[in-house]
Amino acid sequence: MSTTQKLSIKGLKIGHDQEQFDLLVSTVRGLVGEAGTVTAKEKISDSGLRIRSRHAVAQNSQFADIKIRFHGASADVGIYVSPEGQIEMAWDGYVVRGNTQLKDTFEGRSDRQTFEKNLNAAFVGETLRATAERKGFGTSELKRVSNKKEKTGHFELELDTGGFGLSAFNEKKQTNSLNGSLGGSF
Amino acid sequence: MGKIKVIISEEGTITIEAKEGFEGKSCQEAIDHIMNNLPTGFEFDELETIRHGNFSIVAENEPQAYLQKE
Repeated sequence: MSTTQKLSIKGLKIGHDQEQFDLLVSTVRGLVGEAGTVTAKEKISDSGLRIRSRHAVAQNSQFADIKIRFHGASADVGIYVSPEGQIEMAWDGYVVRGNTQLKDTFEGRSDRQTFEKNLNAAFVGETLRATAERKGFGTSELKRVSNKKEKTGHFELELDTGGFGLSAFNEKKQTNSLNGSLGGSF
Repeated sequence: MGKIKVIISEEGTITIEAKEGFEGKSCQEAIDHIMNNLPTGFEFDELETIRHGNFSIVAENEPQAYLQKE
């Protein structure tokens, strides 16, 4: 017998704060769109939401922080934030089989990996957007651009930096910066 | 005024293009300003950043890949 079990979404982590949780919820809502209903805890400190599955649900996966019920499904997808901030997801393939809205959004795909990749990219994009806004930059909305021919998509965002840093550059600095590495500070 | 376009692919690649206002200059400092102020606890470790740091000077600096996890 199968077991519904949460798994990590790459290395995606958030801090234990309400603002980041709210951003995660709104990102999930945006991705699911018309394909289903998203229910989320109001506060990150609230009790989890029990998920339904056709299978036994692993003990550590029974209560999710965000729950998705795709149209036509009789079971849930769970999204979890671990105490360490790791974002995890429990997704059984049958839950979304035949969901046309999801296929329309993701170029004919409705599998876990596609949703996970898109959630990862969208949440990073939304976090960059929110950070830029907080630091005084102008920002556009994050939009998903579909490439139906190649069965993929990407997210785009435009930032207006005002006059930030434009007078501070010189040739040496420019060369050095391009040789640098972002390192592990993210 | 500077404008930057950020493109994030499903495969986890971030491409950054300086669109306007960076003639002869890199947009690196503006991007670093955002990256250095990401929320506490926020982490992603499988994204790769490619920066077009000098949009207006063709081929002087080729786009380079930066891995976020060494």
